Amino acid sequence: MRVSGYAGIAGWRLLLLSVMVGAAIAAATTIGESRSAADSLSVVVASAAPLVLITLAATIVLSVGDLDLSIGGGYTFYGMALLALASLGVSAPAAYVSCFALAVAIGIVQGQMIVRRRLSPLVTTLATATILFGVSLLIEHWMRLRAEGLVAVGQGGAAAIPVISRTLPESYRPIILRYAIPWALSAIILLEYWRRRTLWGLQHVAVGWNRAAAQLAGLPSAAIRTRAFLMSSILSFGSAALVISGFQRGGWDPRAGAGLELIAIMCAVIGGTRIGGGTIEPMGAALAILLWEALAHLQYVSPLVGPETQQLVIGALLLAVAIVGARSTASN
Amino acid sequence: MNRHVVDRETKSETGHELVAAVSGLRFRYPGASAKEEGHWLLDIGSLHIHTNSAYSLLGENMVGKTTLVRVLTGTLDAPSRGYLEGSFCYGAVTGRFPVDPRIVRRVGICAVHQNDMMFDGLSIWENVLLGAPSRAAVRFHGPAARNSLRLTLARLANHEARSEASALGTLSAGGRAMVRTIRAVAWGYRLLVLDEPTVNLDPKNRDRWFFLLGELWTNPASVVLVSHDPEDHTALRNLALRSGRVYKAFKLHDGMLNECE
Repeated sequence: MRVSGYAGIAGWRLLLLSVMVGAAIAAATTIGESRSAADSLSVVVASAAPLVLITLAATIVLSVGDLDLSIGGGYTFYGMALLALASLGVSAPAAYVSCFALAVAIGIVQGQMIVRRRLSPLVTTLATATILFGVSLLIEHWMRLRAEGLVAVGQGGAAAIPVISRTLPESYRPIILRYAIPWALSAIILLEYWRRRTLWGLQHVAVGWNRAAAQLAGLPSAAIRTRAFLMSSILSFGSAALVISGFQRGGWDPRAGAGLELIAIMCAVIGGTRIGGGTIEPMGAALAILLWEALAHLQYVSPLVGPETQQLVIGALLLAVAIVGARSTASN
Repeated sequence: MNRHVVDRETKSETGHELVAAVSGLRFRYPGASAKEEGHWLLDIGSLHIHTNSAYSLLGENMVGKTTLVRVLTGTLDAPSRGYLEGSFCYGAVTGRFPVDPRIVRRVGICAVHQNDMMFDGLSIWENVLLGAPSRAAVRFHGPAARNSLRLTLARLANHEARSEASALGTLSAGGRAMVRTIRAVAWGYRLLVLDEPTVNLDPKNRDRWFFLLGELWTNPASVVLVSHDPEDHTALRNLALRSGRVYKAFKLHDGMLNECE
């Protein structure tokens, strides 16, 4: 089935974001300490890859007109739960499966509370995030955490496709997660396909565009919204699993995901997803998080660039998106 | 006989199959005063809808025509559900009201509602696609639906969108009415319930709309046209009789549904 691209798709936005990522990479090599643009790009792509999943989680929920502030809490909790299970001697595959099941359960329960009980998404997901952060702190307090097993899974194995990491400078290799890139790319491609070529994807954005019209048209709005929270929870788990089995080498901060949900929402909106729902732009969201990481990298390699650059650039972009959005709404 | 047992006589006197049957349908909005308690907005003993038929539902404004459509299709808003009782038999599915709108769609019943609820930011073709009950229907009816849409867009006024990829929001009221109709009629539903489909159309666009309906309406689908305008019913009657279909008209008055000439 061929579903045409939805009206109002902002190709220019993808182009602009690509140019900005390119500019940040170029700046890292000219004014920073990076040896080549390829080095910089490799580092940025690899470090952005797990965050892509988080951003896609926010994108999916926003596209049905809801909001998920539990993404950061979920990310923290799933990481902590994986570590706790590994520390208890549970094998890595069993720990992943258990936490995946937990993510499914939390996603469904949260979705059902918001959709069936008509609770406010903002308050409900904020409450979930707070509870999950609290449980993570409890786990850290009561358990002696070790996770060599999980690190072993992240650093090698049948599913690792080290396409990018081979090109990395030796100094960056220890922090690069080989799993993350193919997983992030797969998630983007799957979501793009789902949105552009399937009836499910179309129904998903239709619910976000006009919930009342979707109900009158007989679309299963409640199921679609619940599914969005479920997908968000699974993607948060995926991101935590990727990071904990590679980047962190066994350690985990019980506040690891604090503020991640806001970065994810910012990047989703900058990437072209409407805050009120009705559009979904996985590629745009991925490019926005890539820009976020490129600016972080620039700050890391160049003494000329301070931490304020990342905040100022992303904040200005967000404001520009809000202004353009308001203008197009007024003209409609 | 228990008034809530649906008469499942599956063939009409003309040999057409039963699509939908309703029995003992009573509805009253919540908050009715003691004086109004005996008064039902809808009080319909039985209603049988068969294939290959056209039905007109007439009635003054505010008599409950739209409420009847919402009750039959399960799209009455939850806060205004009020007091509702009665049984339905849609295809092979029987049950008591309120009916789940997903069941309504699954058994092949599609409604075009009075308020122009569509998806302005999505493309015209995507709006049509959203009427499809399943992927199988898209595969089977998709090419014909797309063709109908292209032909219809080509017939619109010069200033209107000509591409199915254009946003729906670029179309005029007339164009939107056509798209809304294609969205319902193109996917092989067995029963189409059209609630005031021509309400915002000028005479020229109304003629175009009935022409489009005639083009897309395939057997064994039946149409229920809800309108306060007698001209609509005359046009439907002519369309039905020209194509050899059975035509019946009902008038909703004081909650009761009575067959009329």
